[in-house]
Amino acid sequence: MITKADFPIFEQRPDLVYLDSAATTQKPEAVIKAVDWWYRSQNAPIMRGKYPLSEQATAAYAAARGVVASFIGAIPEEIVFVRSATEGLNLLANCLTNPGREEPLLPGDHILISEAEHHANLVPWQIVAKERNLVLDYVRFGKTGEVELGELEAALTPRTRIISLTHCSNVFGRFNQVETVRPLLTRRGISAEIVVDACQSAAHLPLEVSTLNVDYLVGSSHKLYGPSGVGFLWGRLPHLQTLPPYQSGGEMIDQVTLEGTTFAKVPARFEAGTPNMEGAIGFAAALEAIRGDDGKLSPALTQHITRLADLMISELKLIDRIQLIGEPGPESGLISFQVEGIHPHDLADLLGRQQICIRAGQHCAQPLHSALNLPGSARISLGVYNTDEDITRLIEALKQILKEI
Amino acid sequence: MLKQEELAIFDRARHPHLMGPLESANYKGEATNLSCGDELIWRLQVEEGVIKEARHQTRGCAICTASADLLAEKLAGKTLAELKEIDPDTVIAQLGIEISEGRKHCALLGLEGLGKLKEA
Repeated sequence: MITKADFPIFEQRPDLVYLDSAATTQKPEAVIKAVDWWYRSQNAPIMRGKYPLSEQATAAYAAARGVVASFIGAIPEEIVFVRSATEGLNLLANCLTNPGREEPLLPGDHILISEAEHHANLVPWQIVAKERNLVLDYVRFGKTGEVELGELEAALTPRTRIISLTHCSNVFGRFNQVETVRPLLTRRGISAEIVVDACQSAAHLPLEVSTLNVDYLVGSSHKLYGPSGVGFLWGRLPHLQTLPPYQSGGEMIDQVTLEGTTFAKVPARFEAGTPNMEGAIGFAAALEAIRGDDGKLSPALTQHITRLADLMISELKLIDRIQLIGEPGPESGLISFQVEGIHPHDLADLLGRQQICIRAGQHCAQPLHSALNLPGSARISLGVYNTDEDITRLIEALKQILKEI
Repeated sequence: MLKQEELAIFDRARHPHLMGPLESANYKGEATNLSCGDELIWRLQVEEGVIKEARHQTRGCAICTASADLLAEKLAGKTLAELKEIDPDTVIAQLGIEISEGRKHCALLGLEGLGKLKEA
């Protein structure tokens, strides 16, 4: 399994205790080398040139798509490279509600998301609902932080057409049982499309799209130890094929005349312009570094983070003035908490001076914090490079701060 | 180990001198930084353009709260026009500790609120 020693930043900064992987992950040597290789020996326009360098670049890009597909048990044709999960969710919000799609949504049709969503899986739906006269409702989360399935069922209507949920909350660190949504819809005779934001789950649990039984999934490379500026959108092929383009221009076309344009097949239809080629290459290198023999996330990585998170949770619970937010699932490696008498910003500042990096604020989840009546929270999120020593340093630093303030 | 000046900021934030309601207030100003959750309301009693009393109500970090409280102490006797001349660097310096770039908006939320005063 990949370890801390594989990440050059920790050699450059030996005192660094990086506990903000939910925001962005550090990058292993393999990713840095892959991007370096691309620039030094393989860079060329893909899918255009008729010379060997371009054809090899095209093959490398296609291979990268294949690595992403294998990582989630999909086929390459179902993987759209996007700039990030945020772009993927914007694409879905716009295309799923586009009046030009097959079986378009009608004014008054219903979209259901949760109150706990990251803004990337909330704001795009708000915008399209307003623009297209759709009804947007929010499902509450329970005390653990998990979306209450009973509440979700109660919120369904005969006109529910889209359900979009996070697989794992970036505040609660709690997994939602998204695989139970389809059976629920089937029982109710509702054929809504299911979108899942896998940003915080993809680096923590092996994903298999057939098991999740949803229609669309998004994730970001930079949260999977890969470069920023690239992510994936997976969609069931029959669903993707019904959608009109999002951005337009080069590459996503079939034929362009002054009278009109026809569009390429998926996934090219959704990949306008020159993509982040080096990003895709780096992304594939990251997934290769963290996958097991079956091409999916290595169980050893899940075990490592789960063990450390269990330890972290136990230690935090022993400190009187610390209150965890929700009940984090240790596999997520993500724990948000409050400290009585110390604002999260001040805490993060004080820890930061000791090279201990935690996140403080609302984590792009203002409605969630508003529902909890909290101005913000402190958040720890683990990555594969974290160690027992990191936990010890954090806990000792917290205890010292709490002695002084 | 925290320095004495830093402990003083936390103490000031926990025991502010001029935080609370002001019944006689006829001016109000609000500032928020929703990305971090800091919120601040100024209530001022102003007579003939001169501030007689000032109170703030701050929900935020220690730097935000202490900065607003220190600023509040300097407002009585100032005219509304003079508020515009308050130098942000002076507001930050009054805290007596080094403020990182990322925390400057916390230290200046009070000043931002003074720039949004309206008759109540």
